[in-house]
Amino acid sequence: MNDPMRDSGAFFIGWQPRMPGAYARPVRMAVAAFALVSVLVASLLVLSQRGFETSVFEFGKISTNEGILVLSPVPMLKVVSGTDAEGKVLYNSLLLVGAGKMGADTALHQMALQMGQPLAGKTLKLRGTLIYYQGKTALELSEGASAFAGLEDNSRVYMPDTEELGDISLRGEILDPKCALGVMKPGHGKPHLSCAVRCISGGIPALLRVAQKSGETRYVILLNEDRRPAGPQVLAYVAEQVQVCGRLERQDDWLLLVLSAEDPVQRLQPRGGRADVAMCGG
Amino acid sequence: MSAHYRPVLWNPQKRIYDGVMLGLMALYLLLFAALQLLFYPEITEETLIIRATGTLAYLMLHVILVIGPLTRLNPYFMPLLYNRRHLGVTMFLISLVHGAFNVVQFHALGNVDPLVSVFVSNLHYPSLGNFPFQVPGFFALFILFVMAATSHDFWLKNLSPRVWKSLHMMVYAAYALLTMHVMLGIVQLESAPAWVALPGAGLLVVIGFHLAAAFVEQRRTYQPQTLDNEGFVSVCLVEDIQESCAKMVLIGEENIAIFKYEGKVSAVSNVCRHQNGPLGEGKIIDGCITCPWHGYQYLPHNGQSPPPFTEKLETYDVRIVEGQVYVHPRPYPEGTERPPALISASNSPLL
Ligand code: FES
Repeated sequence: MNDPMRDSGAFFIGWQPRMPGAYARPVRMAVAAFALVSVLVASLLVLSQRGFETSVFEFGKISTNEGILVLSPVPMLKVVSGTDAEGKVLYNSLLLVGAGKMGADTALHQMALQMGQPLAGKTLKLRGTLIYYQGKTALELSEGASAFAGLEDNSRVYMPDTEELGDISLRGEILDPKCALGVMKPGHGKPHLSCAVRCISGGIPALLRVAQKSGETRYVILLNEDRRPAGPQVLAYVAEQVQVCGRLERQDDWLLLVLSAEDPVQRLQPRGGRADVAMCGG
Repeated sequence: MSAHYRPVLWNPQKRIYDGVMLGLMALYLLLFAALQLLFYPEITEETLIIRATGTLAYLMLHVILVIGPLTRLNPYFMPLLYNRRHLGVTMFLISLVHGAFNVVQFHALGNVDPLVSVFVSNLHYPSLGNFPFQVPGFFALFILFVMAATSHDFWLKNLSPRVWKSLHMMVYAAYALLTMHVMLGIVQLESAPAWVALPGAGLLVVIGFHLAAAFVEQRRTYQPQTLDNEGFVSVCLVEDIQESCAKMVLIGEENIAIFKYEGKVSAVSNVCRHQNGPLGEGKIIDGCITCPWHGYQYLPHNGQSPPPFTEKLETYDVRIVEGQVYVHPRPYPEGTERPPALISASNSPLL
C-alpha cells in the first residue's frame, strides 16, 4: 500500500524542532475534532443530569441553638417553634449528628461527662452547623463536645406530642439524614451508597425517604423493635428502593417507624433485575 | 545521527503538544464548570470537581487509546502519538484528583480507614446492579499510577522494552475497569440517554479504530505462506519498495522490515527497540532507518544505532533475483552486519 506521506517526501520526527508542513493540516483537524468532542461531551453530560437537591448545609457557619436535649430514640434538640391553638408547645426537632460520618452520641456523652451530670431532658444550647431540606433539619455538632454552649434553667419539661399511626408498609430509599438533608448532592442513589453505609454504621440514624404520589417527600426515622436506631438492620439495603414494614408513629414533627420483627425490609426492583415483594406480615 | 537523538529532551514540538493538551483540558473543565453553575447552581463544589475530573479523565483515556490506531490508519496524525506519554501522565493526575476527592467525600471521617472503606462499605459483590463500582475504579487508578510512574525512558531501559510494553498494554485493563466503574456507578443514577450513550459510543469508537487499524496493518504486512529455496522467501519486486522506505513482512514469528536505499536492500527487525514501534513505517534519513514513533535510528546494514547509542536490531539475509526481493527469516543476533543486496547485481540466479 502506498503511503501518501512517503510520496510527498515528508516525514515527521518528534525530536526535530518543527514538523513538516504537510502534517499541520491533519493535526489541526484532529485538534479541532478533539475540541468539538470536548464541547459536546461537557454540554451533553451537564445538561442531561437529573439535577440536584436545593438542600442546605451551612458549611462554615456555626449557629447556636437552644432546646431540650432528647437522647432516645435518637438524639435530637427540641427547639420550641411556637404553640398551637390550644396552647400546646410545638417543637422543631433538630436531628443531632456528629462531625464527619459519625453519630452525635460520642460528643453528647463527652458533654455530659464534662458537666458531671446527665443532660437528657435539660434545656441547653448547642453550637453546630445546620443542615436542612424539605422541612427537616439536622444539626451537625461540628466542634464535637465543644458544641456545648451552656445549660439553661431546667424549668421546662419536655412533653412529646406522640401519635400512633398503625402498621404500615412504606416504599422508598434508605439513606442517612446528614447527606440526604444537604451535606452531599446527590445524597442518595448508587454513587452515594458507600457514604450512606459509612454514615449509618458510624451512628447516624437511618432514614427512609418516601416520595408520595402528591409529590411531597416524607422522611421516616427507622427504629428496631427495641426502639433503638435500626442502622445495623438496614445497612444491607441502603441506597436501594425498598419496602419497609413496621409500626408508624409521629413524635412531634418527625415520623418514626418501628420495624416489624420478621423481614421488615424487602428490595424493590433491584438494579439489574426484578423482585417479588411479599406482603408485610401481621 | 542527529545530536537530538535523546528520548526525553524538551523541544518545541513537545511544548506545543503540551500547550494544546492543557488548552483542551482547560476548555473542557471551564465549560463543564460554567454550565454546571449556570444550570445547577445548587451543586456542591465536591460533586462538581468529582464529575468534571472523572468525565475528563475518561474522555482523555479514549483519546489516548484512539491515537495509536489513528496513526496506523493515517501517518499524518503521527505528531499526536509523539508525546502521548504526557497525555497519559496528565490523564492519571486528573484521575488521581477524581479518586482522592471520591475517597475523601465518600469514605473519610468515618469509623473505618477510608481505603479499607472503599472495599468494605458496599458488600454487594455478587450483584451486578449494586456492585461496588468504586473498587474497579480503584484498581484502574492503580494501573494508571504504575503506568505513569514507569512512563519515563529510565524504566523503559531498566525493565526492557518487552516488559515495559506489556506493562503499558495494561491500559486496556484500566479502560475495561473504568468502563465498569462508569456503567455500574454514575450511570446507575444519571440514567439519561446521554450518560448511557456516550460511554457506549466511546467503546464503539475505540473498538472500531483498533479493528480498522488491524485490518489495514494486515494488508500492509505481507505474510507469505510457503518458504522458497534455501529457506529464502519471495517478498515483492524491488520496484514495489519506495526509495528510503520499507516493505514489512511477517514470516512465522519474524516481523521483518526490508528497506531500499541508495541502490541497496537490507532487512532488519521491524520492531523498534524503544517501544516496539513499526520501523517499516519509518524512513531512511541521513542514512539511518528512523522510527516513525519517536525517531530512534538504526543503520540498515547492521541494525545498530550509531554511536554513542547502543540499541541494536536483529538483521536478516536478503537477496534480489531478477528484480524479485527474497529474505531469509532466520534472524542474526542483534547488530550483526549483513551485506545489503545490490539492486544493480540483481539478475544473478538465486541458487
Ligand atoms: S522510537 Fe519509540 S518506538 Fe521507535
